[in-house]
Amino acid sequence: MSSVTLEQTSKKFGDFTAVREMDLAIRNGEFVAILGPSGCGKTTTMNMIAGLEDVTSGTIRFDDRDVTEVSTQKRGVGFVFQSYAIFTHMTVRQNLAFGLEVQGVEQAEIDRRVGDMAEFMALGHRIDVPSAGLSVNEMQKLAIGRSAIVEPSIFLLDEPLSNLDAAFREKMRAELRGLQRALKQTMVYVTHDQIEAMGLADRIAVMNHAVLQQFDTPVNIYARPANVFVARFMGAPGMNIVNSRVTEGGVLFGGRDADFVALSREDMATLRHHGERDLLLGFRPEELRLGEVGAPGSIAADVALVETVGRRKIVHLVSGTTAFHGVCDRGVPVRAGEAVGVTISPDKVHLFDTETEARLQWPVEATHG
Amino acid sequence: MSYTPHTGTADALAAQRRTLARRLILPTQILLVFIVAFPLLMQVYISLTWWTPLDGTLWYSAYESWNWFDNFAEIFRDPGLHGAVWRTILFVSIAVPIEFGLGLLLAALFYEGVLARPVFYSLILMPMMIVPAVAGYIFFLIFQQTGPLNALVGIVWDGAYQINWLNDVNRAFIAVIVADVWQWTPLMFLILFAGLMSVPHDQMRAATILGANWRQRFFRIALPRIKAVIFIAIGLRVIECFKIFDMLFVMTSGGPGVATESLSLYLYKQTFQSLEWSYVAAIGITVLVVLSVIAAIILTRTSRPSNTSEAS
Ligand SMILES: Nc1ncnc2c1ncn2[C@@H]1O[C@H](COP(=O)(O)OP(=O)(O)O)[C@@H](O)[C@H]1O
Ligand SMILES: [Mg+2]
Repeated sequence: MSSVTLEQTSKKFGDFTAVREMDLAIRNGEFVAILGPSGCGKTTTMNMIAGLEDVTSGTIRFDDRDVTEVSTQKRGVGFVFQSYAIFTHMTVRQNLAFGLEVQGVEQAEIDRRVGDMAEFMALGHRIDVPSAGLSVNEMQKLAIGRSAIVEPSIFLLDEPLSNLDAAFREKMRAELRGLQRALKQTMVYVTHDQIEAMGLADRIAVMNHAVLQQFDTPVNIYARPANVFVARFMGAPGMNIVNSRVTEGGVLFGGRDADFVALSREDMATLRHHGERDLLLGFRPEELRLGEVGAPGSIAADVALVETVGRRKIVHLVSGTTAFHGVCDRGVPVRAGEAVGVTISPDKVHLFDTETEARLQWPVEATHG
Repeated sequence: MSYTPHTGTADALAAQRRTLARRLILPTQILLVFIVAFPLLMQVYISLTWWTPLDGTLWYSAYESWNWFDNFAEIFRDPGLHGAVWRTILFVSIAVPIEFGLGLLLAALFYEGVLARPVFYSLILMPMMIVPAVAGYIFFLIFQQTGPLNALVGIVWDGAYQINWLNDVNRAFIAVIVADVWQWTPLMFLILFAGLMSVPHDQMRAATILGANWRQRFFRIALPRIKAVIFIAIGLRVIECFKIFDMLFVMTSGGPGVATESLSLYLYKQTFQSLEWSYVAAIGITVLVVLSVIAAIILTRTSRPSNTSEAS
């Protein structure tokens, strides 16, 4: 078990940058999720940590040991592939023993540890079965057990649940979390599914276009997204982002010059020295309230469409030329064509720079934590 | 729509259609059976007689010299045939393992990226494209006493010009093996390389991460997974090599003496020099049966579940 530190780590394939100047400090025993859309460089990051890809520049450290130039075989990482990469021409026992055998552990020791691991992974009764015949559930356990048996210092899992169906994935997610606790391992877990990341990880590293966007706890990532990308990516549906303008009286909502959004005292203080300017106003669909038109402090909007999804309603709203959406309980009586007043609580308002799309409030010091 | 209303069920209708379909393809089937079966049946028929062109009898009158299994009995007595079979087996069991070893080595080098350049692919595959008789001719020239091989060895050793390759019993055998290896190693390489490319990349990487070095990955992951391909490649070459003819014919014509006379060359000589046509037919059938049995054994071995390399 060890910590993992990436310092200014980059990977280029020819002219194409797959990972750009990544700084990431993963603590001992932590469960970190790397989250981002497909093609953003998650797998490449993992491959660099595992040594399957050389870094183009930068440093990788396990604890205090610089492993940048160390070969894959000597890094001592565990890696669970999306395909699980089970050696299907071998039995469960042979799969488990493989890592110990190639490392020259003596036979009695191998037998003991393979037996223990099979029991631990609840594969004891399947130990002499050809591994090609295992269920997906058992394959995943075997893949994790096969990596865990060589006692890696860190564990890397690349989208291990993404080829399972939704119901089964939830079950496996819970099992995985339990396993991580039991193994007390530093784990890095790649996913493009924000629910998975939110549910599993101690901290989430959000990536986009080869760049680390934010690295923080799930709560902070949700409550204090570092930029517009993270704000939109997390949550379903993602955060509303509306072009707005700061004036003397407060923040003018959308294209209209009628409705002001109330800000907290701190935010007003932050904005004061900027003077009059444009900015991006963000608020989460589930955090707005629908009320009477003309209610004090509310924004006038028309309901364009209401979708009922399970126990929730997704309400599509238009204010002037600005479209946004809200989420409310199925019981709330709101119908398409109605005019409503939308209220956003001052402490739920997010402010981003129009140009850089970076967060303006509470400078996000935890990003490179 | 139904031709016979009293058989109204869907099954009966389907059966009728099948019958019609069978009738329609019958002419084609007969033609195919004739094309495939006639030569075989004719061979069996001739092999049970003493038919030879010297008699002047027509082939279908060959029954006049009906002799039951005398030709097959002769197979067990004929020292010339036994020598040829023995030499062919020796040839196969030296040439094919060398081809396999070299082919596997090349495949491994390409697989690991040591040699992975398109220009090497085309270079390596070239010998395979050459007509065997032409390959035989090339090596006939190379192994001449005044040829390029002796010239090359002559650079370091003056005595090289004394070496007579194709007229020495042992050296001629070595020479034809070299020629066969040169021509057919590429095929081994091609098949084995294709097999290696089908080994899941993730499994090789998983093995690396678990600490396996190059050799452990190759022998414990890659090779076991391409077992079926190996069987097929070797089986193919054994059968092909067993029938070797044209290259030998050009290089040595089986000589000196009978030192490089393969089974096919022996049959050729029996056909055109001794004119023992019905005896040749009997040998041909025996060889066919033996090779079929070997092929069947190889096929059942490879199709057994434990030997197939299933993709994950
Ligand atoms: N070996 C490679 N050669 C060239 N480009 C690559 C290679 N591996 C990955 N890439 C590119 O790098 C980007 C990031 O890939 P990857 O890390 O696999 O993304 P993901 O976040 O989906 O795991 C992709 O655009 C991909 O096309
Ligand atoms: Mg990926």
